[in-house]
Amino acid sequence: MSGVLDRIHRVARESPSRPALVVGDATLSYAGLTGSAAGTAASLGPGQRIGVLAQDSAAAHVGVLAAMWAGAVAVPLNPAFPPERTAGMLRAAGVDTVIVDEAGERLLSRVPGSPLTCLRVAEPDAEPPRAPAAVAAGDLAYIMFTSGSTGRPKGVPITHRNLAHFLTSAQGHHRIEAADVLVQTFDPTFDLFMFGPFMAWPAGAELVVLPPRGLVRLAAFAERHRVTTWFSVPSTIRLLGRVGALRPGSLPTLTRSLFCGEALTQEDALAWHAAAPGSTVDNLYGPTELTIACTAHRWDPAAAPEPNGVVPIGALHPGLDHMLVDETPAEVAHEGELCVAGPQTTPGYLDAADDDGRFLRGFYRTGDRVRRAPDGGLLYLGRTDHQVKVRGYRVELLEVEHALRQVAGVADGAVVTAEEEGETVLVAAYRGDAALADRLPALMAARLPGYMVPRRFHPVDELPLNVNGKVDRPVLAEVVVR
Amino acid sequence: MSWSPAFEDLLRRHCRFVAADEPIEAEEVWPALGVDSFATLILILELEETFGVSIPDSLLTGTEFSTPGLMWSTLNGLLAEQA
Repeated sequence: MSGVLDRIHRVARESPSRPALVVGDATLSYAGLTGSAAGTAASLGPGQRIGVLAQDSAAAHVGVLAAMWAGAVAVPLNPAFPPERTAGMLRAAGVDTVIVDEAGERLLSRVPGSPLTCLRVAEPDAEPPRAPAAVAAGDLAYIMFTSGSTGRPKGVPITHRNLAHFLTSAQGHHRIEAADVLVQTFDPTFDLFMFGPFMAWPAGAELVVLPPRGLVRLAAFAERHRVTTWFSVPSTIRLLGRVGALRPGSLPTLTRSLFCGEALTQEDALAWHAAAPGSTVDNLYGPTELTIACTAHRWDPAAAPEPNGVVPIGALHPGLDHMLVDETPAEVAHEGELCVAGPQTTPGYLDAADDDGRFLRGFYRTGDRVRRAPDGGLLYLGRTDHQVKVRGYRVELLEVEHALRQVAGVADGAVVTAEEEGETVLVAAYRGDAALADRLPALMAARLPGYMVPRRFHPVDELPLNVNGKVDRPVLAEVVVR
Repeated sequence: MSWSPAFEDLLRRHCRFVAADEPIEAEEVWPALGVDSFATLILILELEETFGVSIPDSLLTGTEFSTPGLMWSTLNGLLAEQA
């Protein structure tokens, strides 16, 4: 089965000149997109793990499609991430060939001794593209790396069955049509990146990439491209609101708005709805391990808000099993850690050492506490561990602390979160050379992606400990938070 | 590259990966300086406010603002045009 790619191939045969992907001033038609993907795929083999390392959004999107077209496994990476980290992910995923643009090639040249084959995206030729390779449901479609509490990123493999189930369920809910224009706001290393291309293209719709400075003139961008379908993290709403860029009625072309990656508040939903009054607002939920998103809730502006001010995440996609696990077993648990099994659950981490009790009898333990409403919908309550979200990006505080302790001159360190100007930010405290505080952002940026680098570093004489001898984060938060 | 103290101040507030005693590289891309897409939005709005210029949409989507050096030269072009 390669249903999604076959559908994209069919659109290209029936409507070759329809626009498929818009990046800046350049538009790639369906013939161009599939021709380029199939041409690139000709040098790849089935099952091969293919890195996609491109700053240019066209190459990033075509690269992922090309890998899957060949029946290979796409491993999306970001050339802005530190070279050592990228090299570690390439090794962990068993990648020997990387689809690059200039930025990607430059980054790879800084990775010492890597025997990698670099490949540019092929120009489409005049021939109609060959059909995508057949794949089995259990074959891998892509591998995403996410922050790991052991101190290094962990690889999450996603199968074609996982992806197909997500796409079918999401299409049942969102009903994307050929006339739609979707916007891509996600980085390729964030699994929500996959939503845009694989929801738009099988439907014959257009995907427009939000340019690096696109948020500055969002209304003009949306108007120019007649964007119908918005998808971003809720933090974007708060940022636009903060700078006064979310004027009522300023996004009139939108008919559908989706948010995922962190809690969507009632206040966020109201602010967005005022800017895009013709748009529905959907709140989605789902960790990478459950393939992009596994719930959806259609927000009702007239409904009474939840007591915690957070929009519900809704019901699980059809065909998924779930249970709520609580420390105190009750006959019927209405509240507890959400555990999900079924066709969207990853077959398991790339490195089994990362499992660490996350899988329970075939169920993936999300670490998210939820409450079940009488109508069966779920309400997000919070985390059971030290994972936090920074603009929707998953960050394990333990991974940031691990990197902090690796810096020469730092004896020990801890990281907490603070809410500043409507945003969750990381703040670090460390024991060690006080003069380092000014250099630590750069030193940490050499090891971690930018969003994982704490906003501030406070030298302290001692880290506060709790009765178990562990860092007392609530106490520390009071010390370092402004 | 030499740019005005006001421009330097603006950059210093946003380039969080550059230590106070280190120069801001004119040719470096924003993510490497610690300016992500959210910070870019704030930076551009502050640039318009500080220098009293209005940046046309067409300039924002291209490469005209993709490094500190390009931002400085684009700003000067706009200042001359809009003076």
